[in-house]
Amino acid sequence: MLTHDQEMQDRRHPVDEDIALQRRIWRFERVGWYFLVVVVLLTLCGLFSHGLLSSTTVTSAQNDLTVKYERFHRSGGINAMIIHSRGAPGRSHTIILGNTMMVGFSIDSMQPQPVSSAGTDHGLRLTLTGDDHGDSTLYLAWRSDGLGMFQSGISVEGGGQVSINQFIYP
Amino acid sequence: MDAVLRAGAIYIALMVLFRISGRRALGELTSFDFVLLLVIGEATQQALLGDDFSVTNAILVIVTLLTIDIGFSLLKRRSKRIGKFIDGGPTIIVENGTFLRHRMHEARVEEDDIMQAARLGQGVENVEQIKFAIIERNGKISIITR
Repeated sequence: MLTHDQEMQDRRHPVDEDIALQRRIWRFERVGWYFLVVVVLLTLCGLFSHGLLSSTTVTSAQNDLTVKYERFHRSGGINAMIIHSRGAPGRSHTIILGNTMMVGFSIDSMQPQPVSSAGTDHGLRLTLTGDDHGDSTLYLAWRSDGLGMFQSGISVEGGGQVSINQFIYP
Repeated sequence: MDAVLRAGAIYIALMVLFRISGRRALGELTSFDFVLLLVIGEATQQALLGDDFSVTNAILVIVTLLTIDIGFSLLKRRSKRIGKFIDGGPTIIVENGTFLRHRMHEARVEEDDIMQAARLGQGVENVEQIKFAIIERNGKISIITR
């Protein structure tokens, strides 16, 4: 049996080999395979949306606003966001979705429909009806239109606010 | 602009991924490999076209893909080394009736693969009858008998 070194010498006949280059290609294939495994594992962990690394919940300091959202999005994809907000019992209150968010994303669906909505310099104002305790929950589906990092915020008018950091992959 | 960027990104991504998967992956397709290719094509289609299903967009994507492909073939003609890096070179895996096992291991080729190619192509019964077995650039195993 030939030794490793004997085998890995270039042959000139019947084909002209470049084993040094071929060994680099084989190494590239092997490293590439590890890279693919890492990509799959990171995907399972949520680096590309939906998973431990992506799904998150933020709550305002006043405890009147909680937002569940995905940190990572893919361009053209749709992701859900749930906003729990609290105003005065039995009365409506207003939340404001930051401007940057409206640039990077478009609202695909919104449940329940707000009492009123208006576009302002600060973003989209949505007036919601609270229950007997003043709590309301808004279910949003966002379609990602932009690309890159988007740092924005959601706030309750006259109340707390949370900052939202999202990244949209191409 | 989108169409060109999409097509370019997909072309490069596919080229790198298929390079990683090795030559043999495409050289001798099993029926499962064929189905896998169809699924890859289906997954790629949406990314290539996006939300724009117009004839113009489709033509722009095809033109971009062909332009890059022709560009690479011209580049390969100009530089043999780049050509070898993109397509690989032929590699001998049986020499004078002896398996070159270190090479076979690196190339992820089994004895059975070589003997299958030998039986199919040349009606060869055992390895002693093979002078050279070579993994060609397209991933097929060619056999030269003694």
